[in-house]
Amino acid sequence: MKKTDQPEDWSVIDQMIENQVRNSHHVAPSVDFTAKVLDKIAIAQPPSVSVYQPLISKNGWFVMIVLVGALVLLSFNTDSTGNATWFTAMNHFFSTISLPDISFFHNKVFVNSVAIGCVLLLFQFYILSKKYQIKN
Amino acid sequence: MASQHDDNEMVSRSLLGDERAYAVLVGRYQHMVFSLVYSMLRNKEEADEVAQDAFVKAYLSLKQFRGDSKFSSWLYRIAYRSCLDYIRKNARHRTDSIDEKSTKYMTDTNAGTDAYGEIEQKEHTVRLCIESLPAEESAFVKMFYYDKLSLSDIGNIIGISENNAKVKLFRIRNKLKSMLEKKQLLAI
Repeated sequence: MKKTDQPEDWSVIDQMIENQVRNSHHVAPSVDFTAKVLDKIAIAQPPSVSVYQPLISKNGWFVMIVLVGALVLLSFNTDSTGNATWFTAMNHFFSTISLPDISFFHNKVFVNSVAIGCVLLLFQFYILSKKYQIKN
Repeated sequence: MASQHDDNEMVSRSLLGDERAYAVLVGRYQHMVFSLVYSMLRNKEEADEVAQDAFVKAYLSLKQFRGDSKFSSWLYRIAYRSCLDYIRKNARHRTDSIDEKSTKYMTDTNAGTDAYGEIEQKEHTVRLCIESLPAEESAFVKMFYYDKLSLSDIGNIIGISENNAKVKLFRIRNKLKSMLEKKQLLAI
């Protein structure tokens, strides 16, 4: 038999290994391999997360607070605003606006139906939000 | 084998949600990935499962594939690591030794009485020697001798440098050589 101490002996071993490695790779994956992978992907995919975004942003709240705060402070100091030209102009502007005649709506039936409608609407919001939470 | 450009095109389409594109990639590489995993696990059912999981992992981390290496190498790396994780979690592989298998084979068959039987027995013993290697070395042998990957590619897949891959190959060859010498298939 051939001596294996020489460097070229690797080729003998390489040949033996290669032949056997080639012969031993006849096992094939299952027939529905691709379908199984796609099924697993469908299960493993993370659900689309809906990020909660407030209707009024933090900046919006900040601006509103500043405006309301400024108006409140101004209302305490009536002397300074009473004689101000911009305040007189605004007063004049608002007094010129004529609202439509809504005396027709000044009855109990209309007010009650609006109130009931609002309650039902709020109830619907509540139901929808619950359903949305369960879904996620 | 498909071109790298074609693979990258399929990856882009998969990222846009085209499942058929990914199905094409699965179809293209399932044999390659399966045979790598099978060479490490030596069990068809387990290999099937682990190979499928490797494809799922690859799909879920498809965004991380930058396209600077071959998709097949990237996929191989995922499959190799998945397989090692599986072996670590299920530490029960390779319980029967080469000698037990070899003895069983020799008693089961009457090989060795004629020339054909002797060759068959030799081939079987060589195969058993290869199969008795640890999973990492089996994968190395598969990638080097079967897939004909370069040492640089293999190093990239298993996470070592090209030089270390050379050293590893040398050790595996030596190991197999001493195994074969023990079995008197090579002269000492």
